[in-house]
Amino acid sequence: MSELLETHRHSVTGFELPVPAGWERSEDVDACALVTVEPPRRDPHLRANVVVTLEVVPEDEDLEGWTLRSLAALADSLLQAQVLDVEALEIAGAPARRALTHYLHADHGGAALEQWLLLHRGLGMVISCTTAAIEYDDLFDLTHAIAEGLRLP
Amino acid sequence: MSAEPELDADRGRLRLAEPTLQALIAHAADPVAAVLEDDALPELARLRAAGVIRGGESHPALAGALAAIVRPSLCTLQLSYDGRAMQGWASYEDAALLLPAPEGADERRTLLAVHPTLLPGALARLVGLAPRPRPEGAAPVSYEDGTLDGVIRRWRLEAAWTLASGTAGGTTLEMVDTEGGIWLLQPTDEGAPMAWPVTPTFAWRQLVRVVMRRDAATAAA
Repeated sequence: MSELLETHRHSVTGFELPVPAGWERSEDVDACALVTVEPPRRDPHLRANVVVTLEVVPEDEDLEGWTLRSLAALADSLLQAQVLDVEALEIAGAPARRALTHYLHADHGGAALEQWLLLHRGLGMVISCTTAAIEYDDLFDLTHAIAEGLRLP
Repeated sequence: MSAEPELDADRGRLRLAEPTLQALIAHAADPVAAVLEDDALPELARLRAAGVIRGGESHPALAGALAAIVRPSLCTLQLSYDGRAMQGWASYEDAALLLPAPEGADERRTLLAVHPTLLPGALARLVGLAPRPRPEGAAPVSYEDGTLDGVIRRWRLEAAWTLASGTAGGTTLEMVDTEGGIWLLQPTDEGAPMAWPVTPTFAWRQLVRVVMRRDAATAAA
């Protein structure tokens, strides 16, 4: 899938993220800093989407601890969540973790959730990219370009 | 004499012995021809008694899976792991997995109806795909048993398909999963395969490609 990316600058916090031009985009979804969703296709399918969340992380919790707590919480919110990979890396000049999880979407079957987690100025930022499991490979370059294109203020 | 089949319709599962499975597949392919085979009659009677065949048709919980076995328009799969073997059949609408009998149980295997979108996840679960360390500075090595420490399992997934044009194709994915990381095995002309350090994410991408014939065919080209 080839998508033209354009930079979205968050209106409050100022982080910048490249997002596909033509995807629906909103900063007004509850508990989310940014939601961007692939346009509908003709057939029913899981619309690929990118969600950015920001949360206050306790001062005594480091990146590793917060990541583990966040991944453990997935089991409570996703059906049959199975963490496949966790990687330490750096994005936007900050230490980060990338986690890949497979789960059962109630309407669309197998889904892949890839998350990038980092701490910045006391906030925990999570960039979550969700795709149909069988489209993970097709969308791999796009979702990685989005997350790795993060710029922090 | 075969053990009796056990249907769990809510979960799309059927435990059954090999002769019963063969009769069920034959019935799904051609119900009339199946009842003309004397050997199949006792097995078909068992399947009716277990509610697997009703009114001459397969139970709705399994009908799609059986259709995929009869006509696997996407691919067929063979997974070898832990000394066990699993078979799979997939069309674009339905898929079926035939899981090995649990250790210590009778010889009945489990036929599982799954949606094709769940195949990569099911395969990942069967091979225990999970986070692993990234070996620092790891280089490819010639692989023989004992080459790598901390082996958890070696697994091999083979897929085969026939295109609409009639052209047959296939691909193989083989990995060694260790406590220190996961390795891709690639055959060589010298005999022993080369083991390349990869990541669980790489393995997951390959599983998706194997199931999605379009990408597998492209990758093999």
